[in-house]
Amino acid sequence: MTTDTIAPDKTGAQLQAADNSLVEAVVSTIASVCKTQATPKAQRAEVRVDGEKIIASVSLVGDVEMTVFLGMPSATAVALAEKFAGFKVPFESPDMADAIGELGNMIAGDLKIRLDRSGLKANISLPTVFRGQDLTVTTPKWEIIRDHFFGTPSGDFMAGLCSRKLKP
Amino acid sequence: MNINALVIDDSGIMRKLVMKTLGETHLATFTFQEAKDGQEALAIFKAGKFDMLFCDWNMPNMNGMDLIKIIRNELKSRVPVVMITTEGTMDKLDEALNTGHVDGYIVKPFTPEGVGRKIAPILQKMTDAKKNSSGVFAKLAAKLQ
Repeated sequence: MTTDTIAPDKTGAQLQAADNSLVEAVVSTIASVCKTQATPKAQRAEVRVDGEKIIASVSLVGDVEMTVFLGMPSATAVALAEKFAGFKVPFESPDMADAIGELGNMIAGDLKIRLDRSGLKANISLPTVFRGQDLTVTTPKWEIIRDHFFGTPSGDFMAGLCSRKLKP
Repeated sequence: MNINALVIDDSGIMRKLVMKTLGETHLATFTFQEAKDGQEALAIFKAGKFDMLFCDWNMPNMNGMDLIKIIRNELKSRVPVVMITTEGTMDKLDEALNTGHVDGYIVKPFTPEGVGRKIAPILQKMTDAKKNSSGVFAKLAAKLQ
């Protein structure tokens, strides 16, 4: 799983705040939903994301125009979905898309609240989920701020944030 | 207490989770029907008789609030409605609660204990209303005799 960095972070503090908020939102949501600790990892190389993957994306639109991505390999997805649902969720099942989409939705909801506290109002979209091999996220017209990699006892995953504009 | 509930959520796994969690509250014996959006829920609601609705906010075709407005304003139903929401949509809930469109809410992620705390007062109100209405009918019956 890779992401292309299209442009440098030009808008400074707000983007940095949103980026920090994303990390907090991910850690908080995974802790409360999956009852497990997600630890941010500094190096992408530490994260094993080979094989089949699933990605959920949720947009925030308003004072900000952002898309939150949550991506993980099948083993992590199966483990976290079971922790979330309380029953086994096969990777190929429709329930898997629902589970990862819902996780993405909750992370975006948490991020929305954190941005709201900074005076940035936004509505969140329904989640969209992609599943496949060697997925690459490219968003040519968007500026990808940063992607983050996390480790859990159930496996590694990534979360990213793209932004087009922020309130001046 | 037997409760025939309609669970409305576009996510199949969330519907399963809501049904599982409600069962684990042990506050009532629930039977469930499911709908994946507001439109489907409206058709099922019109065709059936439900004691309670558990409804997601953000759904395709017809969202939760639009569905509840139709149920309250057009169908004139006072069926108890519990919204299923995330922290991200909590800001929209105030108006729905203040206007009486919605009787309660549960915030994802939820636990049986948390859901139990939210729905217990609603179930109690339903029990009280049933007792009161049976009392009224008993008085009416006595008068008629």
